[in-house]
Amino acid sequence: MGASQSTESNLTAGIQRHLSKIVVAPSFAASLFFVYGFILWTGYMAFSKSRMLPVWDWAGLRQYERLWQMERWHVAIENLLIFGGLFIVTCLVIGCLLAVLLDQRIRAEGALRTIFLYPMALSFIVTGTVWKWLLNPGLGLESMMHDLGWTSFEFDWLVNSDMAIYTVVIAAVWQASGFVMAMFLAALRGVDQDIIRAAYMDGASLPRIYFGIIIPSIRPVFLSAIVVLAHLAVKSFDLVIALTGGGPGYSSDLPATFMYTMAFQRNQLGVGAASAMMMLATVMAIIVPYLYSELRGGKKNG
Amino acid sequence: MADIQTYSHDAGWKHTVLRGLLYLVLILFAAYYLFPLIVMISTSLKSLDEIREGSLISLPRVVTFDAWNYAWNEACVGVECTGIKIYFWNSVKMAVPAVLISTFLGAINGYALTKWRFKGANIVFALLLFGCFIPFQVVLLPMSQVLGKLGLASSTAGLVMVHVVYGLCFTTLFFRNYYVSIPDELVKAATIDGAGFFTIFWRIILPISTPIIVVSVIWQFTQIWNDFLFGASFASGANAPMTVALNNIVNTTTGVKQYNVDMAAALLTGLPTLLVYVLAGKYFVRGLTAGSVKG
Amino acid sequence: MASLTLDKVRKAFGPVEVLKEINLAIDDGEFLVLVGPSGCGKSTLLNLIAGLESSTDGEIRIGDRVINDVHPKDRNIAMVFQSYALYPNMTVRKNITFGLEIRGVSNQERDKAVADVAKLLQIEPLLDRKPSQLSGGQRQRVAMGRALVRDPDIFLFDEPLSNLDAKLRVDMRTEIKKLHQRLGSTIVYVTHDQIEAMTLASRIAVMKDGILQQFDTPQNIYERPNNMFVAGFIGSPSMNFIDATLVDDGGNLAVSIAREGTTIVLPLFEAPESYKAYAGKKVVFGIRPEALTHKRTGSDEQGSQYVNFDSKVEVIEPTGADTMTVIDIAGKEIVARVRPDRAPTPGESMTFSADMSQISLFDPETELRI
Repeated sequence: MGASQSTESNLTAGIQRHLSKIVVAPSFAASLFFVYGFILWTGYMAFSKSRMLPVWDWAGLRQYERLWQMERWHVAIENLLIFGGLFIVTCLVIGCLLAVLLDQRIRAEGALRTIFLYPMALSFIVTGTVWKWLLNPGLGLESMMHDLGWTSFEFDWLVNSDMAIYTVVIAAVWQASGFVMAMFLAALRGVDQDIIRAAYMDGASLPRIYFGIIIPSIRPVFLSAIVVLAHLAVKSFDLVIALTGGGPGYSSDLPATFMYTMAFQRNQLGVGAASAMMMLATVMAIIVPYLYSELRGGKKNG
Repeated sequence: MADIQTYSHDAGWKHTVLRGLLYLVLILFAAYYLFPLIVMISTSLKSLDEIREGSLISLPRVVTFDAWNYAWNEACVGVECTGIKIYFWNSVKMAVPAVLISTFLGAINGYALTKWRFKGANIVFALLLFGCFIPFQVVLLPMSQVLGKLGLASSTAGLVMVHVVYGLCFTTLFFRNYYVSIPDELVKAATIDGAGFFTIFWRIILPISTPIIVVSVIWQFTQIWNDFLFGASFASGANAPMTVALNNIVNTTTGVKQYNVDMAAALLTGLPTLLVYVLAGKYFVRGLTAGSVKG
Repeated sequence: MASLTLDKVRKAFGPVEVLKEINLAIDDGEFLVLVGPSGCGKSTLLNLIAGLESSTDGEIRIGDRVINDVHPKDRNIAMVFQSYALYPNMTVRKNITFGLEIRGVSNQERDKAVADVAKLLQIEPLLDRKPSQLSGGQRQRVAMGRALVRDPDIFLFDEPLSNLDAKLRVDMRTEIKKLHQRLGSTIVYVTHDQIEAMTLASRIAVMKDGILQQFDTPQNIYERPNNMFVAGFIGSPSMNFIDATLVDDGGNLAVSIAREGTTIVLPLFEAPESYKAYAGKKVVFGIRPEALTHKRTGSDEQGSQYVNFDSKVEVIEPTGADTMTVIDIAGKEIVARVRPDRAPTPGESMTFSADMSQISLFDPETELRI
């Protein structure tokens, strides 16, 4: 009896030992197929002759060449640089400023924080819709300013192909700056109070304390915020669609909308795939070094 | 916290002025963030005539819910003039199962990866984590083909699957980071007490996971409800989610532009996530920061 | 209840050997304490006994049963953890009965078992509380209750007192000792605290770097440490080590300590045979602080044999009962234990007595006891 009991418990122990793997396996398989498999799939498509329908004939770098020959793609890239740069910098400035201001024992801090952050809960489509209405040249802010007596005020960015991309920045900053504020505020609250006290005892003024001690000590949060914002910028799609539709013409296209248009409206699967791979490469260039340093840093701290 | 009150060398009136300035700036910012919401609400309560005559910021003279009613019951999405309500229910039918399934899978993955570590568990986790960061454009084309092959094209079931697959990495990240901080001794004690893998999960781990379950549910709900890319790519027509319908209503070029209806529809679309945010803001912020700062 | 035998037990993680051939055997009802600095392998050894990790080699037996491949739940053991590991979502009562429930024990029996254990540990008023509502000491009791209720063959304790404050730790120590005396159960107890080891154990296993250094009764370990590590680890303040030479002093062996131009010669009155081989060679002279006191003469009824020498006092550290007096001998700080009324002032010179019946000599190369 002892023997049979022992084998039985061996068997259950064996299954128990593998249960962990069995449980994770479906998710892992899904990830292998839907993430890695699909990336390879898209990557291959970018080397194929695919146009309207996916075909598997090898075309070498043909699609990439066509992509980089397209004026529209260059516009999208340029827009991404403008949008990404302004979006990140403005969000950082506003987020950091608000966090420092909120860190001054403010009455109703909770309410203010809620107000600053609520746009983050909205869909970009909702944000796009409302800002489209606000920036509407005929009835929006422009007419409001006219009513207020400033009749020479002109604000036609939404329909001006040189300026349309900046309206996307405005709306995006409105949506995401509160989130940066939340990240910074959490970091400020985590700064060692004794260091601040020591600096104060040494006679440092408040701005000195902030610029000399607190802000340098939350430097990692700047990095995290930049990575998150850059990642958001590259993936930005919904906002452009809802706000400008990529227009006028294709003047406010971003790579994300470019890819969508090529793949689903222009029957240019190959070019779409090539642009998607370019986007992936951009995101990887930002994320991989960051994740690597984060995960390594985590290990170092125990 | 380093604040003027405690650390300022100035005293008296200078201090008071500084505090006043501080509040002024904060209130201006609050106005900036609130302005679009207020305009949205006030516009949605006006009649179309009043919108044309009046100013953006003027409050409605006559409050009317016609636009809301119209947006909900009659607004045209493409050629179908059934209102946004059917798309609201599409979104509900998509979000609820997707949130529940992805949260459950995330929980059990996190549990397995932290409390029953096997060789390569870290690599598996890193590979899963990677999925959080890919631009989804890179999976759109293959996914539309696969959904077509599975007969799930343009269906809610297909969208549920898509959201589960790409939400998994986030939920796994949440739960894994939460379970890492739960002492292993708890699992050891339960093992000696005779409990196995699933018993420990159901009886001990899951009951103490409430906070992270809330974080995960809120995060997933917000993501899935607000999604536009997958909805627009894989579920056109009668099965489209609410965001796609809203965009359709707003960008319809035919007929008279009904701004009040647009705003009402936008508010209706934003309401569920806004409600979640107001009710559980703390958890919402936790999800946001957990998604950005890895452990 | 049962005996426990570890036979040539090894544990390696890849190429890293964390336990090297451990041989231990305790009888039914013994209280074994595994003690050593952190990283010595004592917790791994406990996990092997518990079945939470599997050994690379060797045999573990409870009674006559080999349990290497037996699942933890079938080993009939119970464990108390350092963090207590109480299930946070369950009441105290649920915590205690969880293991019984999993094993399919009937409701009635469970209720009775809880009642008995709660009475024994005086935690009856706490039964319907959650762990978060308990103090550290109360959690400790509940953790013990969870182990006791199962009536196992062997109790395993993993540093159960290290999360308690100093006062409570001493109280709980006494309580565990009482419990052991009353129940007569077999216990394996891991700690890094040598005082816990001395006070609780019927036998102590001192470990370092995965090697069992000495396995003996507390008194033997204290009086006759196997090597310099054990000698230094057990006892507080720890044993003084002085470099010396064993010399022949007119037919008798003596310890000679070189010291700024002079030498102190401390004659050994009853040298064991083993010392002879070291005559004329370097040794390490070990003497505990309590064997080094203010001046006494001759020998007293306990068979002490005092030898006197003079030394300047560097620092004194009063503890109340005794005054620790630090003196400098050949560049080494040596602690002597002096009665408070005989305590010197720093800088002053005074005569000390060394009790030569309580000394140890070690080989300076191998660090083993001579």
